[in-house]
Amino acid sequence: MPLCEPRRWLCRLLLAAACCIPLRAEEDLAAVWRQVTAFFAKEAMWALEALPPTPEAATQRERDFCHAVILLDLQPLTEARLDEAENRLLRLIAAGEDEIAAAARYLMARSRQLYRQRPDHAGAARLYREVMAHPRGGPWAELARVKLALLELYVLPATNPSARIAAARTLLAGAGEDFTRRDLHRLIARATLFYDLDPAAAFADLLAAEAIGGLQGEPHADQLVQLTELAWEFGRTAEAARFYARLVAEHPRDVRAWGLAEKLAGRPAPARGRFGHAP
Amino acid sequence: MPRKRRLWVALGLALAAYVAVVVMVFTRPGAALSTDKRPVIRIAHWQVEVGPREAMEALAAAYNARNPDVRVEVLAVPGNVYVQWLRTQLTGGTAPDIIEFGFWLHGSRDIPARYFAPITDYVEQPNPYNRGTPQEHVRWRDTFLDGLNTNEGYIRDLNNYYAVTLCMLSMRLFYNADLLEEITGSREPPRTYAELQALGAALQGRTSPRGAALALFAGSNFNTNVTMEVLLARTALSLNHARDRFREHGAVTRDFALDYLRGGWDYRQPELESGFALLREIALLTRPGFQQLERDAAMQEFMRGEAVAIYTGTWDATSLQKLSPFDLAVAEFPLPDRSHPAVGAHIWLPQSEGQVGTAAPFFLNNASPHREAAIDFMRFMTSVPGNQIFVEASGWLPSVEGVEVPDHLRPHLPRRDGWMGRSAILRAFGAETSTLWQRLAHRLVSREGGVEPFLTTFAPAFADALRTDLTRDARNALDSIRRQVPALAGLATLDRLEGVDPARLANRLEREASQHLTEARYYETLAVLDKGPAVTQ
Repeated sequence: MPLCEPRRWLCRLLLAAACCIPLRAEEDLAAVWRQVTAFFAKEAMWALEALPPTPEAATQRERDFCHAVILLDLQPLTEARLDEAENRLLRLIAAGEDEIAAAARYLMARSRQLYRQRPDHAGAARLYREVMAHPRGGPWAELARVKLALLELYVLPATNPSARIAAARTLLAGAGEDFTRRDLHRLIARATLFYDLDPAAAFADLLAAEAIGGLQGEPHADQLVQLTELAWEFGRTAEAARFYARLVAEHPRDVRAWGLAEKLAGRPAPARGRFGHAP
Repeated sequence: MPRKRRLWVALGLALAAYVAVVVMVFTRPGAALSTDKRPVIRIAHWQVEVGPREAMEALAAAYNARNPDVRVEVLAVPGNVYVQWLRTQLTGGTAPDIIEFGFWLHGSRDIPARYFAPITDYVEQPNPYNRGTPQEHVRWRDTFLDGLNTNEGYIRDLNNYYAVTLCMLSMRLFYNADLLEEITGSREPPRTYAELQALGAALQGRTSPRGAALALFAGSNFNTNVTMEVLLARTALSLNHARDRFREHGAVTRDFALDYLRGGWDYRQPELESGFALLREIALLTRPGFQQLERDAAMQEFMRGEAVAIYTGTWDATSLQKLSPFDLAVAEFPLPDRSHPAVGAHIWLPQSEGQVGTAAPFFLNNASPHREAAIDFMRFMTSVPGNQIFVEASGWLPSVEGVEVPDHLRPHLPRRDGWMGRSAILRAFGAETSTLWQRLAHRLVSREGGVEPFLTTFAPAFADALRTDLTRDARNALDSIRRQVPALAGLATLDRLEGVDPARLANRLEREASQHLTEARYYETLAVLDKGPAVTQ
């Protein structure tokens, strides 16, 4: 029997509404995430809990992930709350091997490294390696690589600082994105100087980071100052002048420019002390 | 009138007053029963000195006139209750939309991460209120004279710009010009440290009209400590550059502090021993007992003509101009030069005052219900025309490029060009080391004290105090790192849910890059606290 006109319209409306449900659910969840990115954890949790129930397993999985992340931001951050967050993340890991599972592993690692009263650095490092090897690791794999490098550089057992630098350097090879390589070079350069190792190596890493680019604001100004100072230290005056010129052009308010100009002009300047391998 | 009736009348009047107050409270713009539905932007500050208070009102009035759809209300809260008031308001969820705040406010380092919103995205764009000025196409942060590179403008641990600043501060010696002429025959302030010393020597045996001994410097715990902090940082400039492990043209405070625990420097360095000798010279030219006195006492001493000069910030300039019964002369504190027998060898001239940076930082409350409107007012007050209103009404220096500085303020302009150290010494490392200095300073500055008696007690106790400060610093850094984790996860997830937004991606990558560095610094602190000089093994 053909549908009469009102019924036909009703069916069309229901069909259109049904098509809109996933989109709407995603939009609502995106609004919750926006609260998270703006540091409104409490409001994000309220908004998440106010979402209507969903029969979609995939949508529910997204919400469960969001719930676990918000738990890491709610105050007070108790061990019991961390237990709950980690249990939720574990369930997400067990239930699939999509990007959410990779993200959940990454956040588990962050929780064990930074949130617990007694950090589990070895456990965090193992999870970071799992994320890096995850077929759907995406941005989480890139982040995990840098966070693992930080643990290698400062925390995980090593025979000496050179071994730490070497361990972090091995992570450069598998980096999938330029910005990951840039951040690894920057961290390796910093650790090299922190441990008073060869500043020439630090200079090379900073040059590599600068060549990749993308830094802004004060971190970039700091990097240009470092490059100017190191180039000057190694007698590469033309390079020093080039980095100085970029500092002045790109960060015109940086008050360090005056002192650098004096140095580059060969006028007397306060001397740097000796640090380990310094020339 | 019978007594009973009088009582009823009084009660009636009290009730009427109460009702009037209730009506006023509930019907004021933005309140529950108000018919004025315009959003109200509240801005809180502690600048209750003569000048800036009126200037804040002038800014609000100018903005309200331009933007009839919004109302800006200014709350001036005295500095001595500001932190408690702010903490209560933030905890209760009733804090203003825009809040003046500084890290030096004790016990409040957790506040930015918990309650303030980052404004990086905004400061990377031009300020629309600069239309028609030379700053029209300049990104907002670069319109500030220091590029917002201050501890509050850009918070390193949170990897974001958080505040815009309203003024620029400098420290100056304000002289009683009449007294100066009486003593030296000239109204011109000393231009060299030797002339300053000569002026101090000429005061021997002189008394004020009230019979008090005449001091060169008006003294208080605040004023004299600031003088000493500035002077010691300047004599230690070469040490700060010598210990610049990261090649950043001077070691920043945390790196300088860590270097102490690594054995990189100590208080027996000639730069510091001679610096302390200089501080003692200054203290002996100040009224004895100044450490027990508050700022007001120094101001009164100066106003009474019992001190020739007072060293203070430009925040006191307008009050001094308006309230002092004598003419003022203003000058920089003349640093010793290379000829000074004690510190000369360590002095680098000229020295920049640029590290002082712009000041009076205003933050955006994370819970502001009118975030865009609040940002709009922040843009207005730090635009060229807005900041000009502030400067003219306050008598303070501008924070924004292109704002005209009135002639009488020119002597206050900080010197940008020159050498600069990147860390102070006495009170920069944290509450514990600052308290240690306060507790033991009398061994240096009292008549019977000296550098050696001071250092024999101060130096051995310093390392433990510094460890306490750095432990606290690490805890704050960890809080900041944790705070970013969910937000960064959120940005990455939004890109997955909604597709990659280039601006959002760039923002995330920048914040992640900064967070990596914050984590590196955090672990460096832990490593040095754990191993000290053995950290390189």
